[in-house]
Amino acid sequence: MLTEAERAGLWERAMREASVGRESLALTKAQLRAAIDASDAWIEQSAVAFQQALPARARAGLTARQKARVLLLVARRRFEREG
Amino acid sequence: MASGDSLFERDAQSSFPPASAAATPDVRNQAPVLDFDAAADEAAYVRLTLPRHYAAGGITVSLRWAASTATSGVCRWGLALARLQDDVDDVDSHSFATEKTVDATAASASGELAYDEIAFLDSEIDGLLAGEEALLRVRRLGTHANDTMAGDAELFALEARES
Repeated sequence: MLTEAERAGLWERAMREASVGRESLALTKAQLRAAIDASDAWIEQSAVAFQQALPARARAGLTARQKARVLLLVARRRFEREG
Repeated sequence: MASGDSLFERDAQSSFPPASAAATPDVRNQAPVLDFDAAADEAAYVRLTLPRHYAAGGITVSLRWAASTATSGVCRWGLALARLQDDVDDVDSHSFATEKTVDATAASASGELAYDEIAFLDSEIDGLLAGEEALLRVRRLGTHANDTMAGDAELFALEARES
């Protein structure tokens, strides 16, 4: 899990990036923070399911950081395609 | 002079930053603004001369601002005045009178201006007299519990009138 300070830092970064990009954001600060907290909690709870979803070769051969990078790459690409 | 008379107007470029926690100069559609962060208490200073026609009726300041991103939530603004009296107040250390605040609701679209006012009684302007210099501190109190608006608040201008 992320620390309280790390979650707060991400929350501030999310607001800063939205402000710089002039993205309309129909959430209050507390609602955005709750979304970040929930996302972190979901990753924590879903770690085992993600491991099991990987093919055995990748599950055994990739480090935790490399697995996270794969997940990030796929998620980012899906977001870019759908955005 | 009378209630409702304009006292001064300032745009974002008429301000200068404090030594720390300063609002950030920015532009929106080429118009100069000051960005006030959502997760900090950032400020800007405005120098002014209280006009000679001020008749001790108090000062009402209108803040003209927009949200960078938000379409809901509350931005808490604070204003405070520091008199710069002849041969009394030292400009090397600003001494502001009690800050007055307003909890201002974001406009329904992030590019729309919101007009929100803070009124000072004559007894709340640090003893400032007509013809004297003063500093006006503008702050967003982003760490206050009442400030719920996500993202930056962009200050376009200030307009002050006699209350």
